[in-house]
Amino acid sequence: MSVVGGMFRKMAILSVKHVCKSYKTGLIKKKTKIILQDITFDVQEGEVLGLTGASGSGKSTLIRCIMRLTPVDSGTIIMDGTDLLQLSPTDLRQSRKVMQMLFQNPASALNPRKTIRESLAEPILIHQLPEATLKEIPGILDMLQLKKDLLDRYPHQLSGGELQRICLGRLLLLRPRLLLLDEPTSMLDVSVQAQIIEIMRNIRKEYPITVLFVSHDLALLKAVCDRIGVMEQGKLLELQPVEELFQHPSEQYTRDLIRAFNDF
Amino acid sequence: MRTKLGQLHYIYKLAIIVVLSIILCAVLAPWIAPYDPYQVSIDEILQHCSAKHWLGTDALGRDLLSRVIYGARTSVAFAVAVALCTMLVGVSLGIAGGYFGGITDRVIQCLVSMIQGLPGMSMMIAIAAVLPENDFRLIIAVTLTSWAGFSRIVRSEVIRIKGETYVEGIKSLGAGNRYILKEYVFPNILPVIAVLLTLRIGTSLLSASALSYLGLGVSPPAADWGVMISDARTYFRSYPVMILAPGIGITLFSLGINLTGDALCELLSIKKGPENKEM
Amino acid sequence: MDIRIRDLSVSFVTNGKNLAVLKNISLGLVQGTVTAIIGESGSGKSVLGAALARLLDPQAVISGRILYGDTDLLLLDEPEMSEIRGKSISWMAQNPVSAMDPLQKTGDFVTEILDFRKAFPSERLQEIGIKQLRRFGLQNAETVGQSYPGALSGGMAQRVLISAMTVEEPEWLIADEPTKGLDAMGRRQVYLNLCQLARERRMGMVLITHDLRLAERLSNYIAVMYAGEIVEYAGTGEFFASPGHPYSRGLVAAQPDKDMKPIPGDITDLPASASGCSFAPRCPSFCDRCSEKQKMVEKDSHFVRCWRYVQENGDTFR
Repeated sequence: MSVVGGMFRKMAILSVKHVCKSYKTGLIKKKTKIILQDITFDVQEGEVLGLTGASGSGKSTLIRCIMRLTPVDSGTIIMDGTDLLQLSPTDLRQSRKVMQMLFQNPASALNPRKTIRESLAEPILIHQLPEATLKEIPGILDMLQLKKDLLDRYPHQLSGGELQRICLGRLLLLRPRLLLLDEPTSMLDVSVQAQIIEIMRNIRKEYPITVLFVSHDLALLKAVCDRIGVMEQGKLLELQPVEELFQHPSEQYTRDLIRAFNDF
Repeated sequence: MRTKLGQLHYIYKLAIIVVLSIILCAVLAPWIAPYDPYQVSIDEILQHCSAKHWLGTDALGRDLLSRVIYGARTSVAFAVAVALCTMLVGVSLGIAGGYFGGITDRVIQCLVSMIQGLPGMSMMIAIAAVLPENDFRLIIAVTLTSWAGFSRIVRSEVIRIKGETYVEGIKSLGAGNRYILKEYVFPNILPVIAVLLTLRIGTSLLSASALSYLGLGVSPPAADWGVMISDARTYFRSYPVMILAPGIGITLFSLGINLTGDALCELLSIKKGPENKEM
Repeated sequence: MDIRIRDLSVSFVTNGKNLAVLKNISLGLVQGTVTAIIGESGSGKSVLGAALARLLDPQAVISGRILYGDTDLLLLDEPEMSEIRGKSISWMAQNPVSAMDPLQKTGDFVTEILDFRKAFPSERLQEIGIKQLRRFGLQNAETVGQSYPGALSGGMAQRVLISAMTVEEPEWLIADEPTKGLDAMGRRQVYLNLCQLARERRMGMVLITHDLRLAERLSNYIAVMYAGEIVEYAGTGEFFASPGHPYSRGLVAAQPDKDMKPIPGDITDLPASASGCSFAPRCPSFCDRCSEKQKMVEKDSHFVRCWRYVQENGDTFR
């Protein structure tokens, strides 16, 4: 391992360059609706990057594009030197190991016909990890502050907070380096949200996973992020360290957003 | 939370019992039928109900009760075979179109629209008429004309499930299409398939009987409910039992199987329990 | 008129099992004030709201009394109740988009109840609808009134719902999670609308929410619910200055702008003894006395269902 001049050098784990996306709507009179407009930013190794904006600003679409769950019109998304948008389906499946996503609605995030135990074991099955990984499950449940007797239940018998933690645990079995969170707590109560955030913090103490956190809750992002990006109508208006953003927002929209938040 | 068998409405229970006993009759026909259904007896033609022949005899002196029992065999076997074939075609094309989308879907949808645009019964008769006379022509004719509706329902179910977060979730975990289809899509459309299949058995029985009645299905002297009704045409004013017995068989079975379908629907669907309801 | 809830219990029977959702709720709601009911999902707060408008599932087993003035709402028959709903007590559903008919223009939705009651000639309805929408800050009310619910943003849909539910100027508005799922802008607009109703028109409100900031800004009184019981009731200022129940303290501490300290455990954790405090399994200051039945104790109109509250405050009250 080489130490570059003993200095801490920041590396971009993910860089998004000029990503554009639009939908065509209408049957006869075709209209083009722009969802993402020339989005460019880097996610640094080890940081928590927040993305915020009003509903419909394209923040969720952006991370779905990064996961390649929805196609992109143009641009590049580079992770570890490879353009994710050019990968073949087989290579893409391999790349999934390093990059994982947590969804907004935990109530439908697990197959209703599988027990929690079966769902938790799926990443091992899919990526043909060694059998020994199965033994990690109890440890992960502890870390997630979940009881063991949940394992033999079905998703509809669990609360939203429990399900979201199970989903998180399932991703962590793969030891991803980048975690994309799409409003992971917006359907949950604040106390449950606090619990999930605490767990995330504990995990990050153990190994420095990079997080891209999408939320419309500025207070939440302020509490957990290093940098925050503000999106409006498909454009990334600004991306600043948290303190900087709250003290000297450079865009009028950001100022409005912060004001709407502080004095509502 | 799931509904258990014992919690079903008594009508459903009755229907399941009726369907099971008809199937049992069909399976045990050689043991429970009092006579050979093909035994022609010139001395005993067109008899009314009696202690010897409970339902009387037909124009060739064959025992009606035995023919009804054996008829259950042919009719139910055909209905099930036809429904299975329809399901096989419908489900595979429905999944292919719904899951993969794009050009595959468009081609299949085009075919579906074409078939659904044609009058079903006339097509069935036409296909059965041009095919060589054997027992498979019935299966082919009914399957070709009835898979379309089946595949359309399966397709819309697959599209719904494809949009669920859990499918996106497993996709982003790195699962391939084969895994998703086998572990996610198929188990979740299974209840729908099961219900459709039972309903299809009912309609298949009706279609097969109709074709047999027209002489395009099972060929005489086979004991089949449709054939029997056809044979009874000329006599039913004086001997109503001849047409009533197979007719009741058809009605009971298709009614029973339809209700069984509804019961299956209740049994297989996952309902949210009150313990998890948003309060 | 004030609404007084007396010993209200609601339970649902499924598969022979009896599931108690509300347990002996007693609560006074003062005319012209806002009472916020806060708690986690599963605490029964939405059921309480629906019970006030008599909109519970017909299979629910209800006991107790809900007195509106001198009439017990639970004894009224359906036609009498529908006279009260909308005119005196209005209930706002949780998800505004699915609370509207997707094939009905929002303008017609707002005035539908007036049309139903034949209160105004139908030519005037459109004008009333637009006026009502404009009152809630929807600038281009004509366009909004002509659009269908699917075309509205979450914040706009919520404001349309507020306009529709208050078109008859009810005395009471029961708002079930009015800011759920809204972004900062939408949340602020809905807050301003509710504020306008409460401050300018002195509309009484029952605000069912888990948004503590909204409750703090808008309400006069706070009732905290946990597992079907009210565990704390106090004036809003008093509550946020010194929350009394360990659960309330946990809720306040879990806010993102506080230190986001989670409450351990889950709401489905059941206490060891059925009669004891239902929060005991998750309580940081749990001890033996928590398995006894907890009574509501009061100090200067601050009610807390926790025996420790007595201990902490000395013997200064009964």
